[in-house]
Amino acid sequence: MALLLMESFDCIYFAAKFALPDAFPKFNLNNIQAIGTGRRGTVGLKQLSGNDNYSVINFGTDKTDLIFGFALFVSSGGTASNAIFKVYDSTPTLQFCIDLTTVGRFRVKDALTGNVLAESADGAFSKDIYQYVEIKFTCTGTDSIEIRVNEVAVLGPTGTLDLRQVGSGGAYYVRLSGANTHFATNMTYLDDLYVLDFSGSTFNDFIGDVKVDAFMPTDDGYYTDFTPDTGVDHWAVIDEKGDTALSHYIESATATDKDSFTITPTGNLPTIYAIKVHNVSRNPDTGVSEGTPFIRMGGVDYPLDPYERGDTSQANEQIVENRPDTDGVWSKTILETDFEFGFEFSEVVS
Amino acid sequence: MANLRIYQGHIQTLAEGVSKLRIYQGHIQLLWKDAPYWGCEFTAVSSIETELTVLSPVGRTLIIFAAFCPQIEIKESLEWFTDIIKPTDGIGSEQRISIRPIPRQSFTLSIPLTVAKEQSRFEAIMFGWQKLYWGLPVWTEKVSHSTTITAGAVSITVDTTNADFRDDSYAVIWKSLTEYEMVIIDTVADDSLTLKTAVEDTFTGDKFIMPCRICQITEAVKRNNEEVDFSIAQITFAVKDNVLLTGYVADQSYLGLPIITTGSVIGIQNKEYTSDSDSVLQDYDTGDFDYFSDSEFNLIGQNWTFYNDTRAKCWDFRLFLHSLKGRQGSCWIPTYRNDLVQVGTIGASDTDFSIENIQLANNMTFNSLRTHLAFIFPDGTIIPKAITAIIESDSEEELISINTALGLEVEVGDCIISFLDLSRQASDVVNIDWLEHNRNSVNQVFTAIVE
Repeated sequence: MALLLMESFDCIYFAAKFALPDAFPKFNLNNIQAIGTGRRGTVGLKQLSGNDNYSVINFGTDKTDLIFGFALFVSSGGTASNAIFKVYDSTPTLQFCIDLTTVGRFRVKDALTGNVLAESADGAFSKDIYQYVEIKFTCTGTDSIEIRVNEVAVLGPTGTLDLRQVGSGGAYYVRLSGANTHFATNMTYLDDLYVLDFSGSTFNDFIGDVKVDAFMPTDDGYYTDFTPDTGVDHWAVIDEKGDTALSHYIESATATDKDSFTITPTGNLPTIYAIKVHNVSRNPDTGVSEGTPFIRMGGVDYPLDPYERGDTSQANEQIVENRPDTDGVWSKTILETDFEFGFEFSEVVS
Repeated sequence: MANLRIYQGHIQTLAEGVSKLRIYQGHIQLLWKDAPYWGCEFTAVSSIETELTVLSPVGRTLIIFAAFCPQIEIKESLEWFTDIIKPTDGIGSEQRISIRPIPRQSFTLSIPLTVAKEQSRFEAIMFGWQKLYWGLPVWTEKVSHSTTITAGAVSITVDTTNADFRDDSYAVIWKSLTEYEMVIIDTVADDSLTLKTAVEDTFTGDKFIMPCRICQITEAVKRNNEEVDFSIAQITFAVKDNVLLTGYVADQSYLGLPIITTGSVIGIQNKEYTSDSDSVLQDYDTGDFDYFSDSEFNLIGQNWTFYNDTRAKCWDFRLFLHSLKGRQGSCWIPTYRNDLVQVGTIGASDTDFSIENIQLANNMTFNSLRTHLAFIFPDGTIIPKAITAIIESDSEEELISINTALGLEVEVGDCIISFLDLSRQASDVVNIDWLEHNRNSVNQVFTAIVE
């Protein structure tokens, strides 16, 4: 799959910590970040400045070609040009970084205070307004990088650069940080993130200014085998977004039990590239349980990959690029009329 | 003697733990994109006070080009991209591949700037905004509107037929250089637009409703001084959100392709025909030269002028152009000359007839390029037929055989007999000269091709 990650940031809950996903790539927060204002009135991620405050994406392997897309807001008035995008190998050793100057110039550098390998013009990025930034780079030996803002190239594609400063290089971790020194007054917000590599026949190049929206369940679906910890509505105990997200749950002790839910998509949604099925779960007792997310369309269940849980809450996220019933593209209409997502307690592992 | 001695007996069970699955949170995330991608949620609409700007929260700035009114003559261009592989089959069949799925559309407007202050304002706007994105009202398809549109309205009653109003797109309400508003269309019906967001201002009296396209300025903006304080600016907008239109239905078809029955039929006396050997020059630098052609046939062209004088005709012609996809598609074009001068009556069941000898058999013979005829009658009726043989009867006459009989008796003078050429456009570019809204003319060269 070429589409590796998509994140709306609408469901991050800081008090309960970010539930680390059970598969690579993993999006995690180093030090507490904060909830910021997203670009469309929803939640965005407030990036704090400083090298120890960052969001990190752990790919679990050295990636050699990646494209990042995210909506970025940087308030004006900063006094320093901090690196907003840092690429590390598995050591982790910094391979290269991108900073954003106070006059809106992107600079690709070989170290935080190192040489400038490539740079945009001043004003490539306008501050005080959300703009969609896409960064595409390869580090395969003939390294190059391109940065686009609102789908227009502002840096590169460059000729051959050296984006592998130490050893074999590669992108094992990518850290995203605030652009300014004084984060209390100079804000950096992030929203609508996607990450892809160049493999596969789809999602292997820039996809432009996209949005990621989270849709919580709004009703119970075909299956209601689990038991809610409170109330009678199953969907109502798993739809929390904020710090109370781990307060309520549905639970089953019987393998093959299923629960499914419907959503009410809002907004325009003319072109839907992919959906992500997300859950946070655990087995509160002894042993290991296997859960299987599934999509239900046309009265047929389409299982996704199973996962195992012990007594630790973890997130499971699976991206589904095409409709499982027809292998065609998603549409708002089909999500409204013939779509459920759900979870099966599929097996007692131990 | 066999014995069985049992000392101990019990059951052991290997019991499983109490495995459960507890789910705390579940939701769906969608990765999606707007069409067009910056237009999801406009929060402000344009007004002259804010100098044309519309801001979207996603960071795109879109300027509505409505504070300047263009002259009624507007030039539109539709440009496809076709790759033609020359024939190698000995009979002249070419392969045409349409590479660009949606035609590149552009509009060139002339903007009169009647006082120095207007010129300065125009220049200032270009200085600041020329490189950005524009919402261009399609002036050539403006629809007159007179009933009041009240602030808060979420639909507009307007005739949307034969114009490029689209679902999930934009329109402009335009009353004057200072009173206009861009609205976001949710759905289009024949008699109304349903909007995604309510109209912000009230518009009374006569005004226009126009489709609105997302554009960028792709050519240098020119401004010619006509007098000291009067100049005309010329500005070209290329449309970013054009679509391929479908649904063209020809008035008359032959072998599944449309026959052109409009346009230069009227102005045939000024029509230009060309015959190009499609050759290249080899100059030996000795004074001698050779002219080589790798084409099976000469490129036989005819310059065709279309004239569309109603909104419906303009739209139908647009659908026709989209159906051709530049040089890729083909259609039938009669020469509208009396190419073959009939000799004697053609019976209703005759499959051959005589014409005055014009040396077809000797010079053209039966070939794969010109193999069809159009019998064109004064009332406009066209009977197309395929030629199956050309034989010289004597020094005075030639005998033409056709695939099937005409089905009616045709005396000399009842009709003209034209060659009916299967043709494609000679160029991927179509220039539409709008004389005013809902009235345009197009001059286009067509080249005969082999089936």
